[in-house]
Amino acid sequence: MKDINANAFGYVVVTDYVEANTGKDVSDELQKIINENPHRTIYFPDGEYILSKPICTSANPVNAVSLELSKFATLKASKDWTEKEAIVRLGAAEPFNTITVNGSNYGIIGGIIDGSGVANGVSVDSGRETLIREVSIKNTQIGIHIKHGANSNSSDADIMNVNIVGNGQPESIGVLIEGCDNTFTNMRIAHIEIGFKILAPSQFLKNLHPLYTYDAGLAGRYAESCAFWDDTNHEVWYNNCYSDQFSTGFRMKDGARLTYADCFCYWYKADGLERGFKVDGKFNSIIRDCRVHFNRNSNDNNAYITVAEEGGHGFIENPITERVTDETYKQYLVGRVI
Amino acid sequence: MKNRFSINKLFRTVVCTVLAVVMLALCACNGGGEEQPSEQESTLLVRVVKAKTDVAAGSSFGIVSLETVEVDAASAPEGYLSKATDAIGRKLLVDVKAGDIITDSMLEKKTTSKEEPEEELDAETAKAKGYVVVTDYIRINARKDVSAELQKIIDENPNTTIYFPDGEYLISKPLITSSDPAKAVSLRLSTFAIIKAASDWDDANGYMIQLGAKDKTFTVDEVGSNYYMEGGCIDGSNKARGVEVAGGLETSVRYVSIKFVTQGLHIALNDESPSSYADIETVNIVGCNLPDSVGVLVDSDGNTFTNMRVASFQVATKANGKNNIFRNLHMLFIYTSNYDYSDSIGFWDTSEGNTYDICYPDNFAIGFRTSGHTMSVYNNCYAYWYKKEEGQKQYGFASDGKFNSVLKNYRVDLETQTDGRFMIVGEEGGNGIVEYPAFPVGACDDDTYKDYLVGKVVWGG
Repeated sequence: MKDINANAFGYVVVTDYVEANTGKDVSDELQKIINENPHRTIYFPDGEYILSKPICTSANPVNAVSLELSKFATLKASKDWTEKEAIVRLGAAEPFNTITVNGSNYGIIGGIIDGSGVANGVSVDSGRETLIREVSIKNTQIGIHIKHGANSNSSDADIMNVNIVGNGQPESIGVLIEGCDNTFTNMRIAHIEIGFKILAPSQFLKNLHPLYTYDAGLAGRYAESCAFWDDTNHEVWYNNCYSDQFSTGFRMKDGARLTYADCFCYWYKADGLERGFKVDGKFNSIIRDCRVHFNRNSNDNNAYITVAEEGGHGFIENPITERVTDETYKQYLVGRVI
Repeated sequence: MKNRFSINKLFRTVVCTVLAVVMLALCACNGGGEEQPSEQESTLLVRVVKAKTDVAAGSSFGIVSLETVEVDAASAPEGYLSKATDAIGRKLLVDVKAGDIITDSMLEKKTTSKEEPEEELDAETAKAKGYVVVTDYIRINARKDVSAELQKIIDENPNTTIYFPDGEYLISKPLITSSDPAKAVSLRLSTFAIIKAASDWDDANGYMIQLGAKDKTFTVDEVGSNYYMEGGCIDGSNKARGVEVAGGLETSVRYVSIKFVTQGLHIALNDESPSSYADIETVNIVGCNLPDSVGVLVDSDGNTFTNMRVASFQVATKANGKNNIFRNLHMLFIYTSNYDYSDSIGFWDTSEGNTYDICYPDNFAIGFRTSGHTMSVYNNCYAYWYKKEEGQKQYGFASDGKFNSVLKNYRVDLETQTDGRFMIVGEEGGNGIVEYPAFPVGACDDDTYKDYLVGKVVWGG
């Protein structure tokens, strides 16, 4: 097998400066490497790197870096981690808003971010065109946090092929979204209470699969679980999104104008109310060709959709479901139940 | 990037005199003078004229702050002033003082604790690594045209991945790859590898990167047909076109940033094959706001475009080919004096039919435009205007002739004070449908959509 030397690719290889697998905190050393090598790809070979505080990159394209982690390179929060922020904070060192300078498309690729059960994983603090791909995020309270966007709240981030395992604690979230205009594609999330929590409009969510797992830390809280909790008013598109065992699959606020196409809710275990869609007021969204597959033992404890207030302009076209006991969906039905 | 240094025309005149004095002083101190670097050794960039005495020389990083240095713009060859100021801003220069001559070799100096020995260029070593790494053949940041060298690397290494490390590569001619699977290469660029059009770039060259332009072959039956371009940045320097899929089938372009281009991405049509089957994903394109500029020009059939952001073109996407799929594309209009907003189009389809899924024209005068014979499908698309002026043209959809497409759940964010239309047609009739559109009916100045409506207007209040 050929030995590919990362130095040969012009990377800044962190193990030229720090040792992996020492068990010691290397956050200062890694931050220095980032600060002193603007406009470079910082490469992390396989191995574990302990951090007691976040590492921050610049959103100024002139000073930005890209972080590229080998498959088994792990950035791990130390046992005494007390920071509220994420282990990796993209764009935090120097907030900036531009797409017209070369280098704005930095990001993090590959590797493992291990929150040790206490830390958050990765945040997008500023910048535009930030990319997070092929990263495995584990043991986090919040897996990915997209903060308020640099461009009038637009973050313009693209997240793809990222799998997240949370810490199984109350209020754990897979992806928390506070900036606009982001895309999320091909993600699996588990061991969290909330899969996605969306607080800003204009998002595109496709091929996302949050899975509810029965963690000791979530005992007694099943009713709080939700795969996709949308607290925006408008312009979020869900395509092929899959709620797996959450008490509520998709939750939306009063009057929200959202679009759900080809989505799916499933329960492998009957454990309380199984609800495909929950509306915290009037229903104003569009649900098309969405399948809600109740557990065969859920009996009288299921609903395709519940609303807090009658009325609204929304519709449900060609729902795919059976054994549903609550008839609220019929008020919005277009086509027929398949 | 901003030039943070104050450059004053009067100052330049004074500078020349000061320089002469400084240089004479230096010559005296050095007993014969410091030789100007020869062209072979390095290239003069700028002369530092003045530096404040509070420069933190000898500090752990030896950084010179931006505010402490002034440089003589007149002494800098074209393009080098920005390089020098950029390098100073990036803390690559240390202990700069009055009279210093900053050369390109000084810009290579870094303040990391470990000095890396300069590796000798060794082609055999490069091949042993698996990839062909271009910096085993050419110097990084050479600041001269390396198109001939890069083309040689491409031509002499068929069926390999050509890798570009972080750094800038100037080209005055296009890089052309073969679409013959036996000779094809993939181009893989590190995130900060920038292939940049040189100052003498001629638009007659065509696109900077021309994938599959040589030995045109159209087959998927041979190993090597699925070559790609991945990563990095293509910088058109506001004078060149970006990337072209000129030939071949199954070409992939992904994670590339294309900036400052006159035209962005082109999927060419070939007589031998009307279909390209190219896959373009996570490619962001920024133009230079030229009239008649097009961000993504699709002349062939059967391609996919996914997760793209395109800004600063008069027409963001133009599809002349059919059976293409556009998904999650966000096109942004930027106001400029170079062309009229009212001529701007987000997605222009002149073909027989394509599919658009979750496509988002952001502030174009016309969100989607089709010819009279187009039968395209628009699913869950969204038109928005961030600037809303009195009487401003805001057309969600415009058909040049009859309307024959399918609009499903098309949301159009019209405003009452504008000239807002959900849709207009050049000719009445057609077999198209508008199913469950979503827009404020009260802000729409035209009832044309009613001729094609299926279902009802959602959110019509």
